[in-house]
Amino acid sequence: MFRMILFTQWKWSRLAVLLGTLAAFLLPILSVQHAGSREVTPWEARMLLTSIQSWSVLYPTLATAIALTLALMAWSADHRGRHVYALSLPVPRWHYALQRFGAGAVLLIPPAIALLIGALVAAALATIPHGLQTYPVALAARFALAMAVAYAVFFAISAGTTRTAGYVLSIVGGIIVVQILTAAAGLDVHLIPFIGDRLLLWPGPLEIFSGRWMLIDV
Amino acid sequence: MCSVLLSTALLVATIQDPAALQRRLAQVDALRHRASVVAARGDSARQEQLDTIRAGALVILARRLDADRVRRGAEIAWRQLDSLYGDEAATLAARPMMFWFVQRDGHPLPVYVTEYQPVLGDSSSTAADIARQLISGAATVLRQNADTALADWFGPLLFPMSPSPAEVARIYVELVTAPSAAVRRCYQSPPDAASCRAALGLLDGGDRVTLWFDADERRALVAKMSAMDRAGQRAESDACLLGQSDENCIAVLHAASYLEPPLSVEARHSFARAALLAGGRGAYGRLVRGAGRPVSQRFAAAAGISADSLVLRWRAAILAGRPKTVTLATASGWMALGWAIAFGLVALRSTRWR
Repeated sequence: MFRMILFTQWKWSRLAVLLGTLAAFLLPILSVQHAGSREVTPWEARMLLTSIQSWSVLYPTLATAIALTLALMAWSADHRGRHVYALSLPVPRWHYALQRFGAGAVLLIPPAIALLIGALVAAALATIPHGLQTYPVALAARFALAMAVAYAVFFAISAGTTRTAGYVLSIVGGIIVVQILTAAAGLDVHLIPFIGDRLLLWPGPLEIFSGRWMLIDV
Repeated sequence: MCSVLLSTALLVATIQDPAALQRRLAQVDALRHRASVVAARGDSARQEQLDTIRAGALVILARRLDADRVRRGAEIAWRQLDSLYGDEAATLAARPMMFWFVQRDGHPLPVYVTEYQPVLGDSSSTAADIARQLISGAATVLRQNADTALADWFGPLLFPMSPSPAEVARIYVELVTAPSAAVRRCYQSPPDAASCRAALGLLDGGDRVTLWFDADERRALVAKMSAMDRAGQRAESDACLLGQSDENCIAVLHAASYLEPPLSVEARHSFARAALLAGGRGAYGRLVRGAGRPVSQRFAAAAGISADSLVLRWRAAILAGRPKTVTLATASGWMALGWAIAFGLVALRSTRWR
């Protein structure tokens, strides 16, 4: 059953997977195009790091985009068919959802491997100034984990009912409204930064997205 | 007749005496200054009503209609100046500054504005902008107390600034990447304090060219110099670059008009702020009054600890601010995996089919 679900999910999302894989391979290679000399001044080294840093935002963005696409694709056919097919299967709901989750997770592997290969190729091709190092494996590991976390979040939201999605959106919207109203009232309440810190800092769920996503760094 | 000639000769000799000339010049200069101040006051009284604003030891003249804005900026500026320059900032009381908002219509500044230490601001300036301009003006005044050796070491004006993670990260990148043997010896563990001092330009003698750079770095430096910079040293440059002669590389670098220390102005200012912070309120005063001694010893006197301890303390602070790289801590990896599983479980427990 898992193989069939994996096959159908692959058919639905193969274009996204292939594009994501290609982007993941090219991203690290493009990010090091300005690395060209071992003897550089601190100013040139800083410029190189700034150039690489300007690409760094694309790694978590790509991870999120791939994860979002796969999570939505995993449930899109069921949503369209109002879950009649799934309900007709002689398996419990959790078992079916687990198969869908697993199939989508397997499809995250090609982009993760592509990024690792791209990072290794970029690290081999680029001339790294003295004192700087490359981090291809760490970058790929972080990319894979970020995809996994984002995929799980979007899969959970997508698996819920419209009402659940409405609750989630209402909570997010409510927080924004409260922040705007307290700011308008002149109150020193920093709700969004507080929640942002809880999400983005250790041990928050999105902590994996923070930090410097740089193939070349100190 | 003889007595007339004799007295004339004596008069000429007295006029030509350098010391007497200096005294007369000083008198003339003082008179000119007093006259210009009086003229400026008269000029300002005719044209503008000026308020005197005091914030700490800052004394600022500003037009009456600008006084409130300038006062707010002055209060911010004084807190920062006092935190860096300590007791020495009190000397600003004797040097009034004139704050003047530059008009957009391009009217020239009144003469009396330029008779004081002028501080110019844009008419759209906020209190923070005004504070920055006042700090710049005050730092210019305080820099006048420093001798040439100290002023050369500082380079641009030293502004009060709390160390930001971004600044520390930039200096860390310098420590790691600067093409200088002194910087590498400073960065390596255990560190060489003398090399750290040298990298910051705090030399107690010795040849900076050989203390800062090794032979390869010297050759690379010569190669990077413009043809104009090497114009007077063509033979030595060729011997350095083509003949790989280190002696000639050293000769070319010795002849260079200016050779920057391996660590940047930002790093040097960061070190200076750390030293002044360690030395307390009297630190800057001790620093500027130590003229004639090596700059490193003056910083040691200012901070109240040895120069080596000071640079090692500064180095430790920079290393502690190492930018967070992409490397993944094991705990972070497991935590991310845990969150992925947790959200997956939430999906399995969905209420859709209940």
